[in-house]
Amino acid sequence: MSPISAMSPMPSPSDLERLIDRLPAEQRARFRWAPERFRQILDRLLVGEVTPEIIHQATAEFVQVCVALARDLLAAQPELPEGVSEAMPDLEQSMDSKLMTYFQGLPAAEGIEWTLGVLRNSRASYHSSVRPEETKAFAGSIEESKIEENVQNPSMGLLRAQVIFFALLQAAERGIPPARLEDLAETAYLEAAQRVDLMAAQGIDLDPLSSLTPEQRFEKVRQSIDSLREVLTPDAVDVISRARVTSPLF
Amino acid sequence: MGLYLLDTNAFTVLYDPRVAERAPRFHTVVSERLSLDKELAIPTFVLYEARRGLEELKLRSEGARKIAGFDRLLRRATILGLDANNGWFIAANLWARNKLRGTNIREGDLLVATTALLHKRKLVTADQPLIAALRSLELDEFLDAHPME
Repeated sequence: MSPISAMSPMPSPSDLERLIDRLPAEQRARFRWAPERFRQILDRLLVGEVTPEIIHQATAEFVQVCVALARDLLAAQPELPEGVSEAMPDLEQSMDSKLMTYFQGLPAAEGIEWTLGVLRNSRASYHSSVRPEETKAFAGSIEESKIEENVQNPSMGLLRAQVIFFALLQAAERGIPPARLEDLAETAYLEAAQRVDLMAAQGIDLDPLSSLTPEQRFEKVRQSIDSLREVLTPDAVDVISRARVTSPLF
Repeated sequence: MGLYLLDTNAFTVLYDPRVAERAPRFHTVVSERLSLDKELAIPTFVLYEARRGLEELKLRSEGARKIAGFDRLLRRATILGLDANNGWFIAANLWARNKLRGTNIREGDLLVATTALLHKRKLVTADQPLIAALRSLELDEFLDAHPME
C-alpha cells in the first residue's frame, strides 16, 4: 500500500449512500448492498471489548469493500475524485459537529476534537498533494490480498482512526450512551497520534496544536490536567512514577 | 517567553492528586507559575521520564482513556532541550565543576538544571538534594526552590 493510501478519503455508510444516489439509475442496484455491509462491519466495534485485532480486522474489511467499490464507482463515474468533497459531507463537514455534540462534556471530547483536526489536516495535505488521476490509478493498483497485512502497519493509524470514527458516528445515530464508548474514542486518538508522530519524523506537521495561539494552547493544558485527574488511577500514577530515572549520585 | 521550567516533582504534582494533597502549598505554587507563564514547560529529560511511564502503560494495556489523557498532556507541553546553543557542552562543564567541588548530583538532575540554565528559566522544584547541589554550584538564580509541603 503506498503512502497516499494512509490519507485517502473513505466514505461513511451515509456518504456511500449519497455516492450511490449520484449514479445512473441502472447502476444503483449494483451497489445497494454496500452501505449495509459497512454498517455490519462497524457494528463489531460497538459491542464488547475492542482489541487491536478486532480493529485491524474491521479496518481490513472496510478497506476491502472500499477498494472494490472504488474500482466500480470510478468506472461508473470517472469524475468522482474531483467531486469528492460535495459527495461525502459526513467526511468533509458533518462528522465533526456530530461527534463533538455526541461526546460533549466527557473527557474523550478532547481526543475527538484533536483527532478530527488531524483528519482535516491530513485531508488538506492529501488534496493539495495528490491529483485525482493519481487517486484513480491508486485504486486500481491495490493488491487486495495484502490489505489485511497492510492495515496493521503503524503508518495506517489514521485509517484505523477514521474507521473507528465512522463506528462512533453510527453509535451516535443509534443513540448509544457515549460514556460506554470513551475507550474506543480514545483508541482512535492514540491511533491518530501514532500517525502524527510518524509524519512529524518525515517533516510533515499534522498536529492541530500547531495552529493554536499560546493562549489557546495553555487552555488545552488546563483542560488536560483537569480531565487527567479524573481518569488516572493511583496504580497508573505509580507506574509513571516508577519509570523515573534513578541514576546513582556521582 | 516563559520564566519557569518544571522539574519532575513539580510536573507530577499537576496530575497526581495524592502529591497535591500531601504538598498543597507546592501545588499552589506550581499552578501559579503555570498561570504566570501561560504555558507548561518541561525539560526533554522530564519528557523522557514521563514517556517511559506512558510506554509501560501502553504495554500493560492500562486502558485507552488513561494512556490518551497522559499522552495529551505531554503533547501540549512546551519541551525545552539541550541540542541548541551548546547545551550539551554546558552540561559537560557543569558536570566537571560538580566533580571538582565534590558535590553530589544525579545525572538526570544535572541535565534538568542545565536545561534551566540554557533557557534562562527558573527551575520549579521541591527536590531537596537537587536544590542543595545547585546552591553549592552557585546557580541559585536558576532556582525556584520550595519545600515539599
